[in-house]
Amino acid sequence: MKRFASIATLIGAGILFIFILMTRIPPMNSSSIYAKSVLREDGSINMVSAIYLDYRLYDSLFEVLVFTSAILGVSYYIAHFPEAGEVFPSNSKLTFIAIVASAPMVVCWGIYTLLTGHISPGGAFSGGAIGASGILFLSLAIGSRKAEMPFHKMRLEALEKYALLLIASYIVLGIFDKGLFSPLFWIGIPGAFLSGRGAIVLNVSIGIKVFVGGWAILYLFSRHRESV
Amino acid sequence: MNVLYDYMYYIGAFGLIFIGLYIILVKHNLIRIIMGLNIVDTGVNLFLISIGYVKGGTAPIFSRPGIKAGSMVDPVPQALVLTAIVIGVAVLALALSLAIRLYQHYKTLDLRKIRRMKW
Repeated sequence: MKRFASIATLIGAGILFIFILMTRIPPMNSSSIYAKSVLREDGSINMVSAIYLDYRLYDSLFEVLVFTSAILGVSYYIAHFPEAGEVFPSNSKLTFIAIVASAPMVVCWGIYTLLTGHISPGGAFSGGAIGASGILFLSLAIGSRKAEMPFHKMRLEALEKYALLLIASYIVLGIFDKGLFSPLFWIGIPGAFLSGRGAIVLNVSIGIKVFVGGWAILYLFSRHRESV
Repeated sequence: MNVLYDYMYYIGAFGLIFIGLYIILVKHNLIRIIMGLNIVDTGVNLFLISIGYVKGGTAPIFSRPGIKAGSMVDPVPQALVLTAIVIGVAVLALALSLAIRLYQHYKTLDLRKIRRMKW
């Protein structure tokens, strides 16, 4: 069977390679099409941000829903296992100082990436991931129990639900013609911080989702690590 | 050589996809199959990005005045891949948690032993 699978894979690769050689994918560069409308209709200077937060917002919404349900599944399946206890901090003082010094910087960098997603390379997904890795850094230095304390105080899980609600309500209010977020709503001057329609609101809410989700995945896997 | 140069990204992307497919078809360990799935995911992302690539193109951001839109790479595949990466991470985590559950139940990750799901 192994031989069969390798031959089938090789034949498939060969056919696709010939297909690639024979067909020329036309240079379908849509950037010039979008460029005309992005600055006029959206106000973001980052075209990718304009596409996933404006032109293809439903795409982002369902992506966030898929992400949420995947995390729900992870926490459901992992919660049945016994906990392995705290992730203990490293004993090395040098590591401690290096991590404690760099973790807040990483988190701040994540927040900056999140807030300026429409005027710089960045956005909700990368900002959330950077923030989550910063908190993971911190938990390596001070132990997972201390690092997770602010999460329980801030009720971050509830905040995650509100973020999803905010995205959904932005979309629902925006679909009506001349609705609250109708076209020409808060386009601003392209390049200014307050521009790009709902870019800041959506970036922050999607970023919170990705941040909490990423942190939850890392935290759950580390907390139940020894039961595997 | 020119062909190789022109289609470098496509060849790389399909190479990754087929390496992943081979792992999924041939390996019996569930963790390896999940790794294969992730390699396929990476290959698909690379393929989508390389479709929108323009030779010598810049990032699709109007970072300085006078920048021409024609010289930018296509922003649509980038926006698609941005979401695909996050979904890839979520699916990977879900698959791993399912694998842990299966291991707890059957005490093995070998798919031949888990109810003969595979040849």
